[in-house]
Amino acid sequence: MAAPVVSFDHVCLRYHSAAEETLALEDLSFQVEPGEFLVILGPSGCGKSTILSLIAGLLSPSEGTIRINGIEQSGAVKSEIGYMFQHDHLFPWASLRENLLLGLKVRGELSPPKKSRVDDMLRQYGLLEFANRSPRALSGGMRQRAALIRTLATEPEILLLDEPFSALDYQTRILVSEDIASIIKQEGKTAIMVTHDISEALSLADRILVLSPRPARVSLELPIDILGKGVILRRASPKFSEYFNLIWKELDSCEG
Amino acid sequence: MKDNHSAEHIGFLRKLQAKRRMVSLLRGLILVGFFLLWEGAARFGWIDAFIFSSPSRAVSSLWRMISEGSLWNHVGTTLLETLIGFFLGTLIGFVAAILLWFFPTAEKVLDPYLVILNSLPKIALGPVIIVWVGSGMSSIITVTLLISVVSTTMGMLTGFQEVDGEKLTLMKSFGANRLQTLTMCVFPASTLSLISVLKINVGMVWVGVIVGEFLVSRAGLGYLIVYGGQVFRMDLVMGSVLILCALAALMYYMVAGMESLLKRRLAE
Repeated sequence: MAAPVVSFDHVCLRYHSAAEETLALEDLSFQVEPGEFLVILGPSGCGKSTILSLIAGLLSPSEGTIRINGIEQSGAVKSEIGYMFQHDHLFPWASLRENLLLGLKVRGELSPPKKSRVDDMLRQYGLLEFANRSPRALSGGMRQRAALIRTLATEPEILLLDEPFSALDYQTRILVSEDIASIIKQEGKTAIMVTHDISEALSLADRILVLSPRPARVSLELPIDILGKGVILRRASPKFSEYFNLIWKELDSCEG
Repeated sequence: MKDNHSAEHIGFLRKLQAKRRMVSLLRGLILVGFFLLWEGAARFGWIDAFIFSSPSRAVSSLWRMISEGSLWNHVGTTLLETLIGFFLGTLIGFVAAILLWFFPTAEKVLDPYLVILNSLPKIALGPVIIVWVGSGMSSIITVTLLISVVSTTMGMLTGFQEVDGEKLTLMKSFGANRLQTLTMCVFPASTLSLISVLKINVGMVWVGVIVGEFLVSRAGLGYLIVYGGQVFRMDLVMGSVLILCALAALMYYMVAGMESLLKRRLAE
């Protein structure tokens, strides 16, 4: 087996405020394999997004170690990581192309080959005709595809997805998640997504980690290898509801 | 109107246009009615024209000054002071807001002082300014800056701080430093609140200049108003107020025009 891309080794995180100390994550250990689509599923407020912030280096753990490609995450933002949020945050004052080049511009990497790679992605994912227009011209689903291209432009190896579909309406959510999953597979990226939506987790994941309410621990680890490929196929699979019930029960027992 | 509009839509557009026309018409009527009423009241002796003046008396008093060539000096002085006060006040307030954004601890420390400065009636400092700065244009501009800088700083800082936290995280996740975050994200994201600060500033600056001129000047519209009041030439006072109204409105509409231009660019 290849070396893990991301590994959490007995990670604890405590938040401090004047009023109290909060234990957000307790003794969290897991690994992510190269090319894997890992979904972290848990109730709202259990610290799912915190895990992504830790991987991105926006937060540092209180105890334990986090390794990215074997190197300890020391609290600096790493170039091999791309972050995608619930809202696309495309800037309305810039053209779509300028938006997608944002990461490269910040890093001072605006070279012609990288620019033309972004144009290639625009063409490939059906957004080229909007390149010089404001992102306002795009529909919700197109905007989220554009946000993915912006993240991919800096050529990250690991994608962190923080509920990237939850702001979309139901039908768009299914179509766009299908879209984005296939783009991620095609580009050969490792993805870590957090969500509270069981169906969404099941339709995208290679493996699911179910977290307990705060302080978050892994309460169930579930490889999803017997479902078909593709979001819609998966949702139609008879195994789907079996998995769904299993996870539902797990979340329910944690609540109680 | 384009041919491809439906009859219903054309009807809607007509109604819309009619409504807009009516609003402009009513606006004009209020202005004309006000002056007619004022003029009539003075002519028919309902009010004492010596105390309340009248539009024709105010205009003829201004006309006399124009023919003597002395009006332009006063208008020019006030305009110059206002423009210097506006640009300097905006610039200083802007730089201060940037510094406070860069150093949040300094912002925390200074917060109560800013609040006190903001709520203090700065005119109270007028006599002190005259003693410290002297009785020239520099003292008028100092009063103007006192009045406009703190509110500019606070308004702009609030604009910067209202930028969505996740946008800042996005910039951070690309490895952006604070300066890059400011120029690529925070500035453009707070453009509209910056413009509304400018709009408020226009009013503040006029207050500062006129009060400053009340206190120290030998020229300017504020000087004319004080002088006219002292020698009971209400025609001169009212004429100067009319010019002030026109200038303040002009400046406000220039900023408002800038705003709608920017909004249109953002909405494209």
